[in-house]
Amino acid sequence: MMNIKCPYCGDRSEAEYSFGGPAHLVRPVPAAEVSDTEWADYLFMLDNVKGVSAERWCHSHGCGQWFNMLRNTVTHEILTIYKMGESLESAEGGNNGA
Amino acid sequence: MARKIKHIYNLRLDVASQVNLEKPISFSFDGKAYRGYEGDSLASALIANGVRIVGRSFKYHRPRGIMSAGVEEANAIVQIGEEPYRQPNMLATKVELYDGLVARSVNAWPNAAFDLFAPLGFAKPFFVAGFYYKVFKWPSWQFWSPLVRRLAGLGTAPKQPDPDDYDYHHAHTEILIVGAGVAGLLAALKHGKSGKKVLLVEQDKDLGGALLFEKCEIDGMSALDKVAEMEAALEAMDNVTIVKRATVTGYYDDNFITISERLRNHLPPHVDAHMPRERFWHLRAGQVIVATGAIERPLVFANNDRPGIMLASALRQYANRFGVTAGKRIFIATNNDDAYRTALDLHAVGAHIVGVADVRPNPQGDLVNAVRALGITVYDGHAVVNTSGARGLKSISISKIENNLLDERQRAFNCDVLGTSGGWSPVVHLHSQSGGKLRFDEDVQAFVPREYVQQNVCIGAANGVFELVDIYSEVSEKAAKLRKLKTEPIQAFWDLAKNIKKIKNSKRWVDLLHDVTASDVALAARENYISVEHFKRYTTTGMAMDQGKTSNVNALAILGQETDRKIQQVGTTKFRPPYSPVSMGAMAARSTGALFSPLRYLPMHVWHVENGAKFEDYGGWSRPAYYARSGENEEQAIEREIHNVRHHVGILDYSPLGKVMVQGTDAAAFLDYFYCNNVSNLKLNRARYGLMLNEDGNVIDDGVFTRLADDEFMATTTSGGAARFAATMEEWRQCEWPHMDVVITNITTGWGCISLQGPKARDVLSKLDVDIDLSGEEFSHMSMRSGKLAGVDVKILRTSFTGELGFEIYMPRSYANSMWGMIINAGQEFKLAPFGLEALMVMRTEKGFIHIGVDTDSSTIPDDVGFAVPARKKVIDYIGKRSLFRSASLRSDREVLVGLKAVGDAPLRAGSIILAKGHNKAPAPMDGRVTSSYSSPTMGHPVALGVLKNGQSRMGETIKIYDLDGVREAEVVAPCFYDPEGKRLNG
Repeated sequence: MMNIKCPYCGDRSEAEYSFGGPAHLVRPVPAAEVSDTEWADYLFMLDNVKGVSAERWCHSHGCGQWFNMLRNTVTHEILTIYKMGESLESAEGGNNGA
Repeated sequence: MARKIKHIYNLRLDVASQVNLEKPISFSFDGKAYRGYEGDSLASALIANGVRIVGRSFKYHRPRGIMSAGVEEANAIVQIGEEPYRQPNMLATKVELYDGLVARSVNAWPNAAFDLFAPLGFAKPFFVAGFYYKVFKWPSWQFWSPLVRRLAGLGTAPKQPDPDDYDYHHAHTEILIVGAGVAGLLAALKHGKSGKKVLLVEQDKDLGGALLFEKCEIDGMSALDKVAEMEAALEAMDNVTIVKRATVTGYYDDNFITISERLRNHLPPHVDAHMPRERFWHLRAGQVIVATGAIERPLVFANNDRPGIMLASALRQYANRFGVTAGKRIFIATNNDDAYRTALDLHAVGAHIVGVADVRPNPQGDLVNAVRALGITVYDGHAVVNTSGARGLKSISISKIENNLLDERQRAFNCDVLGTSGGWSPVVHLHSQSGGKLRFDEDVQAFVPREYVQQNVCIGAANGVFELVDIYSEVSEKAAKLRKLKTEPIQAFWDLAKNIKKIKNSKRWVDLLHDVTASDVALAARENYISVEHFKRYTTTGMAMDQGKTSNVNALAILGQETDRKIQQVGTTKFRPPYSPVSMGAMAARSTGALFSPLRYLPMHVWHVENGAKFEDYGGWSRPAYYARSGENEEQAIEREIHNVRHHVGILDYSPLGKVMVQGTDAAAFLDYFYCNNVSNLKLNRARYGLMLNEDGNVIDDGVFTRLADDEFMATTTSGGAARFAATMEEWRQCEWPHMDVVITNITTGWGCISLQGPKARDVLSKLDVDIDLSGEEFSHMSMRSGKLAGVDVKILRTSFTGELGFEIYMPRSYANSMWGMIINAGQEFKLAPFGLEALMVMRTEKGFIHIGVDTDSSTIPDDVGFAVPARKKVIDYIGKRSLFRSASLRSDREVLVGLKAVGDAPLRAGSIILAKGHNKAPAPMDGRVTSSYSSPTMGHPVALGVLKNGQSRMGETIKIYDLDGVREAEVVAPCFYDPEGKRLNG
C-alpha cells in the first residue's frame, strides 16, 4: 500500500485515495466539431503506461481534493505530486518524460 | 543385518531445558491422551511421547513425521481445538501446548497412524508433475473435482460461526526490526539508544532466536542469560516496544507492513475470552530491519521423507530447548560444519551418534575435529543415498562420492533418527516482497539479498552472515567476547542419484508439503517448463502455506542441474505474502455480521418497526418493503397498500432519496453539463425531471432538479446513486471546470423526506397548520414551495413516482420523525396508511416510470427511454452529448422501452428473453428482454416493462417471450398502463 502525500493534507495511506485515470486528458469540444475518431480516442484509446505515468488521484476519504501524480507503474515510485491546474513542467521535479 | 530398534516411549531427557517438568499438561492427538509439560510445543510433546507419524503427505498419503522445529515445518500440519474453535493449518512445531489441547492430524482418515488412503502411495505414476492437467482431462475436470477435493486439502474449517473476536491495529514506527534473534536484538539495542521509536517483532513466545537453543558463551555468560540481559535493557527503554507471538507476514509498498499477532492461541479457548484472539497490524515503518534469520535445507536422497528424518538443527533445538530427543540412535548427514553442532550437543545429552556422513572430502573445521575427538566416525566424502522403515526410519545407507558420482556400493547403518543439513537459506521472503533482488552466493550456497528498493536492510543470517562472531561485527557497535572457530566451507550437494539404478527410480523428495520429487523436477525440465515461474506452477513446488521455505533452493538447484544452468541463471520466483498463513478471522477483524456492510436506518425506523414493517436492504438502506397486518401475506399487504394510495392516500419514508445542493453563480450552467435536458431555462420554484449521462452517452442516474433561487438548485438522485453523483460532480468541477463558481453539497442523510401520495394527499396536508397555498392552481405539479408546516420550516416538492397527486416534504432529518407523527394523526380521517418500497415499485411500473439500473443498463441512451427529443434538441454541451451521435447511438433498431401486456394471468418473469420475430422457441436470437414485471391490482392484469428492438414501431404486435417455464406471449403496448393522460398527478 503506497504512502501518498496529498498536496493539501500531507502523508496518508493509499486506502484513503482513489485512482482517477490518466491526467491531462483533453476533452474535445464542441461536440458538433469532434470527429468519431477523436471522440473514440478520448473515450477509449488511453495509454496503459508501463513506467512513468501521469495520473489523477483523489483524496476521497480525506479532503476530497483531486490532484495529479507522476508515478512509475512498475516500481510504484511517486516522482511528483502537483495540484489540479498546475502543469507538469511547473511542478517541482517535473519533467517531460510522460 | 539390521538390528531391530525397540522404540522407547519416553524420550524426555534428564537435562535442564526451558520446559518446566514440575508442570505436567495433558493433551490429545488423534483422540489419544498424552502428557506434556509447560513450555512444550505440540511437536516437542509428541516427540517426547514417541509419536512418530503425525500426518500423511499431500498426494501419496505417505506417513510423515515432524521434520523441523519451526515455521518451516512441512509435515506436521495439524488442526487444533474443537468446533467451533477448530483451527486448521497449524504447525505442530509452532503450537504452544496448553492443558486440554485437542490436536488432530490432517489429510488422513481415520488418523495419521492408520490411513485408509495410504494405497495412494502406489499411484505415483498418476501424480507426476502437472498431473492436474494430464490425468483429469477425461472426461472432464468437473467430473473429477469432487473426488479430488475430498482427498486433497489440509484440515477442516469450522462449520459454526467463530465465537472469538479479532482486531485490526493501525500503527506507525520509525524503526521496525523483524526477528529478535541475536542480530535483531543487537539492532534493537543500537537503535533504541538513539532514541528513535523502535518496534521489535518476534514470532516466537521468547526472544533469542537461535540463542534459545545454541550452546555458546557470550561475554562469559550463557546464551540464555545474554538474551535475558538484552531483553531487560530493551524493556528499560521507553521508545522500544517488543511484540512477541507476532509474525510479519507481508511487506508492501512504501514500508507498509502487515503483522499477524496471536494473543490467545496459546491459551485454552475460554481463557481471557474478553480479549481478541488475534490482532492484524497495518504498520507503516520509517525503516525496516529484516533480521529474520535462516532456515536449514534438507538433503535430497531416496526416501528422505520417513518419520525420524529431520533437519539437523531441529534435533539440537529439541534437545537443548525442550529436553527431548527424537530417538536413540542418531546419524547425521551434512555438507557443512553446522550439523556437527548437533552431533556435539546430542552426544552431550547422552544420545548415541552412530556416525556423520559429510559430502566434503576430509573436512578440517574445529567443529568437525571436535566430533572426531569424541570417537564418532566421520564418513567424509560420503552421502546418504537411501533409507528404510515403512512407518519410521530404521536404517540408512551411504555411498562414497567420487568424481561427482555416487559409488554403487552402499553401506548400511541402523538408526532411528537422521539429521540432515544441506546448508542454510537466509529468510529473504520479506526482502523479496519489498521488491529487493537476490543473488546466489557461492560461498554460502544460498540466495542472499542484493539490491534494496525500499528503506530496508537485511542483517545477520537473513543477510547470509551466519556465525555469531560475524553477526556481532556486522550489527553491534562493540565487539563481544566470543570464541572464533576455524571453519570448513560448505560444498554444494543437490541430487546425485542419476547413476544408481536402484535409487534413480525411488522417490527423492524436494517439496515435502506438496509431494514434489526430484523426478518431478526432471520431468518438468524435459517438458520444457524451465522458466522458473512456469516450473513453480507446473510442479506446485514452493506453493501454498510454506512458500517453499525448505524446498525452493533444492528445487531450483536440481532444475539447474537438469538444464545445465547455474542456480543464479535459473533465478527465483518472487516471494509472495503471506510469509506464514494468516487466519481469515484476523483479516476480517470486526467487519463481520452486521458490521460487514453496515446498513443505514431511516429517521422513522422505530415507527416502522412498531407498525409491522418488513425490512429489506435497498442500496445499503434498511427500508420497509411492506407493512404486514395480521392475517395478511406479503402479496395481500402490497395489494392493500396500492389500493389505499390509488383510492385514498399513502405515506412513504422517502428519506434515502439522494439530495444534492448545487449553489453559486454558475450553478445553472454547471448543472447543464450534467443533465441531457435543459436546466438554465428553468423558472424559479419550478422542478424538472432529468437524466444524467456519462461520457459514453449512457444513462447513469435520473432525478428531479428544482430551482430554489437564481444561483441555487436542489437535485434528487436515486437512493443508491447520491454519493456517486455528488462525487462525480465534484470531480468534474475540480478537474474540468475549476473556473466555475459552484459549491456541491450532498445533503442526503442530513435531510429527511416524507412522501404523501394519493388523491387525498392535499386534504391531509391542509389539516395541518400550513402557510403554503396547496391549491392546484397555485401549486402545480413539478413545482416547489418553501414555508412552514406544523411550525417546521419545510420545502414541499409537488411530484409523483406513483402516478397520483403527490407531495414530497423535505426538512432537517431531526424534524422528520415528529412531522411523520403529526401527518399520521392528521391523515386518520382520510384513511392515510404507510406503504413500502414494493408497492411503490408496482405503482411506478403501472405508470411506466423507469427505475435506473432495472429498466436501464450500461448501454441505455436517452433515446431508448423516450428522452430523444429533449436530449437531441439541447444545443449546449453536456456530458455524453457527443456519444449520442455515434453510429451505434443512431441505429434504428436499438432496444427501446416498451410496455408488455402478458397473455394470461401470471406476470412475466423479469429478466426473461424476448425472442426475435418469427421464432417460437428457444434457442433463437433475442429482440430484447423483460425488465420490470408485476401483478397489477389496479389494472386487473399483469404489467411489465421491457426493452425491445424497434419497439416504437411494434405497438400492438404479439411477441414471444422465453423463460424457464416455456414460451409466453405478450402484447407490445406504450410504456404507461395507468392514467396515460396524467390527469391524476396533475389534479
